[in-house]
Amino acid sequence: MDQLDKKSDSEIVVLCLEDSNYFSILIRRYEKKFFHYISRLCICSTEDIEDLIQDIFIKIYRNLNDFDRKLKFSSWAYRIAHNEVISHYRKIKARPQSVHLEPDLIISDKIKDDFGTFLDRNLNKAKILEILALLDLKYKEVLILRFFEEKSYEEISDILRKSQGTVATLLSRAKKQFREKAIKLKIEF
Amino acid sequence: MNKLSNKILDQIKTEEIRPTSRFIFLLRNIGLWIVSVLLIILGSISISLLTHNMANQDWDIYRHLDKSLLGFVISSLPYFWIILAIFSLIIAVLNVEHSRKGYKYSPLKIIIVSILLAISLGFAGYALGFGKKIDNYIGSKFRSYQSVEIQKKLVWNQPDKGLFSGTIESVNKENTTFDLKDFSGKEWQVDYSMATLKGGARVEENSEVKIIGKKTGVFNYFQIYIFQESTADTT
Repeated sequence: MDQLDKKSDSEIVVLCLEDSNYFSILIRRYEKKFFHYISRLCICSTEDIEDLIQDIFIKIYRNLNDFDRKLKFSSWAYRIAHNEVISHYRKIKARPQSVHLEPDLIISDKIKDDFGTFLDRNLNKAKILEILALLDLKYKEVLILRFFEEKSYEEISDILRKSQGTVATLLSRAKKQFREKAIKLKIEF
Repeated sequence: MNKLSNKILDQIKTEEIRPTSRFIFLLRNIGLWIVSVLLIILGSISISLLTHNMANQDWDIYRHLDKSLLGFVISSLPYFWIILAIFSLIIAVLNVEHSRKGYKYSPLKIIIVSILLAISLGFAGYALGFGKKIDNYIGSKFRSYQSVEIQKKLVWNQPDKGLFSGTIESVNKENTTFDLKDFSGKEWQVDYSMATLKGGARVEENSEVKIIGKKTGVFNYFQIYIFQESTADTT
């Protein structure tokens, strides 16, 4: 098992295509990441998130042969997760749920620009969540991918299937909308 | 192995889920590119035909058709080809964007490259005569399609408005008249004594000419432009 743990995601994908049991390694590596990502992105119950994660992994398994090895596996897997979450998000928007999780909101040092540093220093978790919930989905997801999932512009571009220029524009607009919502909520920014 | 892993692996085994074949994904991606290329070619063909259509309009006859230049332009535009060119380019751009790597390029860049490609190929096709060939071919196959040639015949078959065309059958230089058979087979006598010959038109037997003049009904003369552009009096 230790030897397998040292293998890259791409190498595990090759093994999975031969034997589905190896897929458990990928599940183990991404299960928690997806859990946090989904709980940050949409208001879902734990059961809903687990169902979503199961659907995501099944979709990943079905599409293993579509994985482009020039991409990072994580970007490709997040793309599938993103698509599943978006389609789920549309459903629950029509049928809002009251259960609300408190996800981890730790901003990595690696991506702390002015905005990230500000978030980290001045806003508490509850307030960030409150503002994020008010943002348009396209802005919310790009902020989450950048500041909470620690993804680079290139990775976000691969996940959202948008050019890096479009990602930069989206991020800039997302920050602007975040500030505007913060001001509306009388949170000093 | 944790609970979720077990659940997922169980589902994979019980439902006998298999990864979709690599061939299917490859086929889908290649299919998208082939369709995109075909659509850009279709766009280019439309642009060739559009250019052929516009380049072969007789832009200076609008005065004789009781139309303003704008009205003439609007009535002359080949809308079918314009719509087809726009439609095929939109679908081509969407296809490229949905291809495996399409998202890496900005949509504006894809649109500009597709348009430039279609225009370049379209003009090249027109310059090489493909526009005319395709136009004539479609015109010969589909009755409802009016090729430039058919349109021209219709425009130049309005003797009451002083527009007609045909082949010169014989020339009488003493009377400065000639006999002309129009494309519907009707015979005319044309006085060209006051005619202005345009576009290299020659009054000689077997010459195909277009005429702007006035139908008098008697052997009486007026101005004619013989075209390849001129004015004559006809009876």
